[in-house]
Amino acid sequence: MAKHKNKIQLMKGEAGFHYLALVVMILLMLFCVVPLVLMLTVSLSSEASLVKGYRFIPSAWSLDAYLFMWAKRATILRAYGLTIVITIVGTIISLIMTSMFAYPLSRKDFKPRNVIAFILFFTMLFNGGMVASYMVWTRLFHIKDSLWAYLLPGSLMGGMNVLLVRNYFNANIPYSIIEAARLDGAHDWTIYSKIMVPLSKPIMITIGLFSALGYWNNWTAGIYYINNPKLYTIQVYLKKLMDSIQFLKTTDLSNEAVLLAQRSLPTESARMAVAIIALIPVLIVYPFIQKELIKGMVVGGVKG
Amino acid sequence: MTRIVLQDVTMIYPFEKVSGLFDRKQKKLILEQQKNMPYTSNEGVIALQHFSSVINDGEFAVILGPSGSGKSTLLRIIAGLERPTLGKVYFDDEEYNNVKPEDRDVAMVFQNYSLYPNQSVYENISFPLQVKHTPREEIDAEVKKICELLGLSRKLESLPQDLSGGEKQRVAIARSLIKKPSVLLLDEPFSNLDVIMRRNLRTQLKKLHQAYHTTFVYVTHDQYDALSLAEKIIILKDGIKQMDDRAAEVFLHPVNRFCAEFVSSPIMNIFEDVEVKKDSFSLFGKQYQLTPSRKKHLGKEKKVTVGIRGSNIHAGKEGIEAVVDYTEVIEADLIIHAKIDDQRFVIAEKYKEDKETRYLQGQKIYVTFDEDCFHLFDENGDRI
Repeated sequence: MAKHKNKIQLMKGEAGFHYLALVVMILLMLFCVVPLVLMLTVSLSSEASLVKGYRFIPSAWSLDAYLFMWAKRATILRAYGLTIVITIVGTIISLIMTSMFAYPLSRKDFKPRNVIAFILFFTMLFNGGMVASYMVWTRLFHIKDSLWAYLLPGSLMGGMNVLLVRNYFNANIPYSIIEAARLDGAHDWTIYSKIMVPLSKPIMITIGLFSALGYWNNWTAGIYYINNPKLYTIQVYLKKLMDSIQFLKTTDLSNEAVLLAQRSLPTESARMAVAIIALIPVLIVYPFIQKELIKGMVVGGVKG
Repeated sequence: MTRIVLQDVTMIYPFEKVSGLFDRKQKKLILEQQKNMPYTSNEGVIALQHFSSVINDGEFAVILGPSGSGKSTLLRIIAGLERPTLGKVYFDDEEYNNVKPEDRDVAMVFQNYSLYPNQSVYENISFPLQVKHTPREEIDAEVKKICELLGLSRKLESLPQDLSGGEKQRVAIARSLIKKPSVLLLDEPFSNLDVIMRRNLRTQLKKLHQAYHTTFVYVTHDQYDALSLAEKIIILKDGIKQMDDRAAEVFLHPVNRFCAEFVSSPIMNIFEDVEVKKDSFSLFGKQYQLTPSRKKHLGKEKKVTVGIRGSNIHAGKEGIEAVVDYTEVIEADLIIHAKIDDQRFVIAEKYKEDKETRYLQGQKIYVTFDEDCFHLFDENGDRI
């Protein structure tokens, strides 16, 4: 009888934990989803209805923001194309660099690995700061107003990603496989390209996604280094658009031209529409790689 | 084919560095464990001590020893995966200490197979040839040939995860042999396999050695593997070479008590503190003569350790009275555990299912010892 009671109590405790977990997860999900829904509905609201504030169900629906975007389609499509190219190229380069850096760090017979690892991880905590970086990139590497501005600064290779890949190599690929390959006559490039990389698909996908998201969402590089509007990515374009709208809003209304422009512009809804447009590719790709992403994050973090 | 010469090879693994502010207890424990290893120096744990040996062209050498005796270290030194702390390694009179594994023309079969999980059986086997940029037709022909020899022709498209243990090990052997290495190293390749698979693979390995005439170096702790495969056996204990001789010689004339007990199939019975009087020693009340050379070696020593294999003790109708404790059948042998007074020993007979071989617990039997087959050891365990 006592046993039976205990069992019921335990089950109650378990059920309580499950309900609590469910509530927490629902809250977390709402924190993520609500802004997205709001963003969508605001982008579909008429500008006049937004004066009173944002609403989940707009008092007046309107496609003005998207029509405004359609009118600017040439610029937006160019920015879109550029963002896609930068994301793909940047991700590929980033994956190659990260995995190539991680491979020697995972090799027990590579003696300076601890020193190099220290230097790498040091940069995770300390760096030169924005001004110094800006001067190095613009004066030494002359990346201003070129596509390199999106690819090189800060996003080519991160210490954290190298750490994840190195841990994956150490924890999931038996060292004897590397030794077997060496005895089969394979040199380091063959071992890296034919064995290590194909065996590291989950972590590569994870790092690839981190990197791709980083490139896709990167607007700071454009603000710092790009003046040529033809080289705007979608995020930079969005930022510039927001800034322009802000400028119009805060400027003296006695100026007739500004007043006109302000009246004809779908300001708030246009901001949200651009954000929605920028988000679409991520929303499409994410469900397909979600499994691998989680797997990679778990296996990469198993061992320190 | 290559002649391998190992000259005064010593391997010291540095003590593991335990850093960090935490886990002080664990740090202390690890250091204590390392210090308690059989041989340590100020620098670290000595895995191999002043080892010298010659493995000739095309020879099948077996390195035999218990766990932790340094046999895998020795193999890794030959492979180039470890660099000896002291001593030299020569391949055909050329010093190889600083030659990388990939440049040594050696192949190795690992205990855990170490197949490439992302590659099919065909890709695994052909990998060493692909690395050398061998023409595709030649690769196809070589893979076909070796797969027929090892019975893998139907598994070429399979991935390693779909293979049984025996198949995986055959793929590993095929991969190592396809590039026709000068030296093939095998690190306890059959220890994960069942008895029948081991027996089959032992036969296949012997055939492969005859077919390829490559120098084979095989590491094992299993004396059956050693005795059935080896032309030469090297016995190691705690990193020190105990014996290095032909397989028959190791079996018939073990140089010390450790070798006698380690290579003891059938089981070697050991009787300690046997008294020596003048020209003979006495065992269970019976005198056995010492040869002049043994007597000379013995000097003034009054006690010896006597060893005799179970197959050299016979149960019959005459001899010293003994009592049967219990019996067991191991492969083709009937093992009789018996005792005289309180001294236990083992008799190994060929198993026959008839009345004479049925021994019951407590039954009296009469035993005789083959006088020529006694092994005598002094107090240090060295052969007399």
